[in-house]
Amino acid sequence: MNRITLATITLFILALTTYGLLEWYGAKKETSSILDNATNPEFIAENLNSDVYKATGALSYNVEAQRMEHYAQLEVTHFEYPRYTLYPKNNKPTWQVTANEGTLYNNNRVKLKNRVRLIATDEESLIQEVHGKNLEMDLKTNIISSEQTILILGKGFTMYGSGLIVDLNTTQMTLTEHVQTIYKKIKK
Amino acid sequence: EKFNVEQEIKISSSRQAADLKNKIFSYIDNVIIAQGTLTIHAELVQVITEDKSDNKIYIAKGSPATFEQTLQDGSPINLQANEIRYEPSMNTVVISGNALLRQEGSEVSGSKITYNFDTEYVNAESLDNAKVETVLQPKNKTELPKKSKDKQE
Repeated sequence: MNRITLATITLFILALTTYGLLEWYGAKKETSSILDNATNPEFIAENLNSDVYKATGALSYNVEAQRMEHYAQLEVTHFEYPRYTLYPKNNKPTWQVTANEGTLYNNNRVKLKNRVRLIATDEESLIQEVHGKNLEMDLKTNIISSEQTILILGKGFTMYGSGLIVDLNTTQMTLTEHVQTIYKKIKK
Repeated sequence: EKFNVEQEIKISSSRQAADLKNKIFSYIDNVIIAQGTLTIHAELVQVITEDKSDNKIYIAKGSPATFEQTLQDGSPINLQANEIRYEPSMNTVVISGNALLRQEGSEVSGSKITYNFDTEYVNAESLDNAKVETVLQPKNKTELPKKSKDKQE
């Protein structure tokens, strides 16, 4: 084992490790670039206020939010403090939905979280407000649902239950699990 | 104490459905309505909100639906029928479909019985052939000697 073979071996090892390092470093960089794309939103809006129209030209809904982040690749839009105004069919009175957080998926299903409120703008509506921790909303069919427990405040009554499904177009509502409703005389 | 129709009414049931446009709420499966000493048991209860007055009408259906209440003098009254229609704002309960009213041993049966809480007035009606049968037990408040029951056609 004279010095030349020793030198060639060390040189060879040196080459091998630098190659390995370069390869490893290159690979790490690539994966991180994909990640960046997913975690960084495509665009961000502050104090958003946008009207969305149906194909027929009628106003479908309006959404306001303190902050909105759109992730094109994941087809997800995240809202902070969203306020939706929904326009049911044959121009019935509108409803408002507010929450601390909202996430819009493939542009018609919305999941709302934390202090979610469905509010009727029509005083005469039997249901005035629905309170829940989370609600799901389909912006195309105007159907709002929630598996979690919800509280419904209405004219002269308060209702507790879960498994809510309410269709704003047909104004039909069901609770698959009804716990209790308390009717109180309305003080005129 | 006087039966107060203004008291809070609690309804529990397994499921619930509502038609907001026509202001009808339906409570489905083992429905219990409680208001002070009043309890109604039914399979289905519909609560209709009248347009102008916002008064509520409670229509309980069952086989039979039952209605228990303690009257002002503390005596219990039991009603049962296929349909019990309770209207607090009118102080009335109307029961129909092999209706039976039991109060302190006396019984009234017929196809339709109306009972008014305020006046404690009972009106039993029968369809053409069915007969109204009233079995009266003298109220022994004044300790009258027990008379034999008399049937009233």
